[in-house]
Amino acid sequence: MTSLCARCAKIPQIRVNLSFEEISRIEHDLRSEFGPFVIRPERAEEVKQMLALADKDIEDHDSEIARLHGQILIIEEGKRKLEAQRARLRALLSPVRKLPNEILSRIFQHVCENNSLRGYNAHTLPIHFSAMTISFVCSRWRDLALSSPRLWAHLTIGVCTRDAARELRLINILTRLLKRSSPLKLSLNIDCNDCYLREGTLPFLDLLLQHAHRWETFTFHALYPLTLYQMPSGLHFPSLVELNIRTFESPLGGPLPDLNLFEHAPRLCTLATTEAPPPKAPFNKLESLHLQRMNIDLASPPVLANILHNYPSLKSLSLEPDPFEEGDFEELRDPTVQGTWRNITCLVIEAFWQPWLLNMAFSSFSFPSLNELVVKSKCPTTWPVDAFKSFVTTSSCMITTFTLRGFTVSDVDLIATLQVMPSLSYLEIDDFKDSSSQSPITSHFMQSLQHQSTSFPLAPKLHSLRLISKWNAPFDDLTFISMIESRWFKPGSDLSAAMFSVGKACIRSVVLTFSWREVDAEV
Amino acid sequence: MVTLVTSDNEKFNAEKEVVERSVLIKNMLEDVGESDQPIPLPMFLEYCEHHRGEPLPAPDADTSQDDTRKRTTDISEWDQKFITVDQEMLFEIILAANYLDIKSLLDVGCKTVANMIKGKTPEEIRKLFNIVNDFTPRRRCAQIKKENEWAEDR
Repeated sequence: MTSLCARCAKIPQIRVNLSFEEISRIEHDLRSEFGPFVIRPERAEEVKQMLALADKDIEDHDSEIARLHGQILIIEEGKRKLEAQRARLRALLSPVRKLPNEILSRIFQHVCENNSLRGYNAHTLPIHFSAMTISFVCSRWRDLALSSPRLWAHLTIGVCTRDAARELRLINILTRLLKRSSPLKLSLNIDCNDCYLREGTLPFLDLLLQHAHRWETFTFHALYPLTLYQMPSGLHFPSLVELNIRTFESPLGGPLPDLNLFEHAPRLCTLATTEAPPPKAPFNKLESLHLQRMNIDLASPPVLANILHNYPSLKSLSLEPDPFEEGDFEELRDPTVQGTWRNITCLVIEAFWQPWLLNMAFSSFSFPSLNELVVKSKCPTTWPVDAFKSFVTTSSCMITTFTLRGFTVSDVDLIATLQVMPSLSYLEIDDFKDSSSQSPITSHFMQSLQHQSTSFPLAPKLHSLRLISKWNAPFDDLTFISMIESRWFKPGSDLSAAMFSVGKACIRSVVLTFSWREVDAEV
Repeated sequence: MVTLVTSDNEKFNAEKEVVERSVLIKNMLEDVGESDQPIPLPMFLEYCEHHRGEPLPAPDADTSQDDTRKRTTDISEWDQKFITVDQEMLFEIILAANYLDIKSLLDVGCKTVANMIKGKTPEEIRKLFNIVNDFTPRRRCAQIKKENEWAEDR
């Protein structure tokens, strides 16, 4: 290989090298303002000879340029090889190589929590199909991925249009994935929210139904019910434990018949649906029920009491009314309906703006075993502090986890609310959506949380605190820091030990979220 | 109190309740009994101190499919800060947590690596972890063919 050194490189010899005088003479002759120019024959011959030599010089330079280009290509190829070798050498020292297969598999399981086939019709490999991505990284990762059925057992499928070619491809891909995940149980999430098909079959669903014995969780969100797609009856789901069905329209205008498809699911314990399930097996063994988009009839005390009666094993109840439902608590109120439900440990109420739902739940029922309460309102709604205090007193429950999101509440009412929950260990308050009223997260509220050596502060067992504040609310940073410092867990400190010894707890986790707020750098 | 010694001979005293978050140390203490002999191990006191008092995961919590069904890659704020280290240290922590059998720390480490992988293409993952694409030409052809299956209906 020729050296790149300019001194040693072969420099083409230049045959035509015009002097300054010669160039000036040519320029002079070329000027048009002097009129026509007739070259002398001996000068013409001289110019022709110079032209021939100049052509040869240019040819020589072209050859030299081509030779140098060739050398650059060779050097670039050499550089590529060196880079590849460097990458291999680096790879030898790569820390990820130290991980044994068992840990790498564990990481892959976290990555493949959700393999999404939503973009299955995309032009390139869908990177959200995590198991597939992992299997294309290197031989070791591929072998490990292919030998781990668990990585392929979580599938999210999004369907929007009917196209024979795409359906065939989806079937092909699904067939492979079902084989790779065999014999493990499947977690399936079908999203047909953008699918306007009102009839016919969904071939991919037929394929999945051939593996119905492996379904462990099944989520179906769509415009139309499953039964519209010629679903066979008498199907058995021996492994199904969790079912989530949310459809928006019943073509017959009557109740949605989808739940009847799952009557042979003996292990079913968690259900999210838009209607109350039939009070028979397997639904009467449910432990968790989430009623989504409930209508007002479903939200009345007698009906809810009936639901709680029909599902005696229920531990977790989540109520989410239809956003367009209106109602009046006084109309709904039935003083004869009062019930005590000892199994319920978790209650979630997620309203859009319907305050009557909370009043109804707090006034009509008591849950002595309740330890987790989550109340959310998508539009600002006044927090019914008196109804809540009365509910906690009546229930005699020990709430340890409390989330209050989207409610209008004063600092005094918030303090009064927390005073009836002395066992609280997790507190989340989010007033971000309510821009019309004052934030309850005031200096007074924070001072009430401050640790006192002589008395118990508010929520003495608080472990985790999460505050999400609206953008325009004043916030007392110094009092907040002082309060957190007074209760923060410090390993080995006398204060932490003293707090433990008297039954108080130290805060170990704080999340404070603001939007568009400048924080004083000194703070 | 238990005396712990790092590989570079630095000694630390820690409460038994804290270091017993490591199943390995718990077993060692049970086997050896009360002793003045120091136990050699790297520094994980900060992590164990922070999580003092929290319930330990069941011994086989990560083996059942029920558990993996509920798996999530959320990591608490404190753990996230604790594990924000360079790649070399991150993998060292994972290996040590595995050796010491501190399941919660191993889980935090694995979730952190999982979050680094999520949403990336195979080439981006190779670049991130210095992994060489070592598929043989034949296998690479099969891979390309397979990748093309996703693009059949352009």
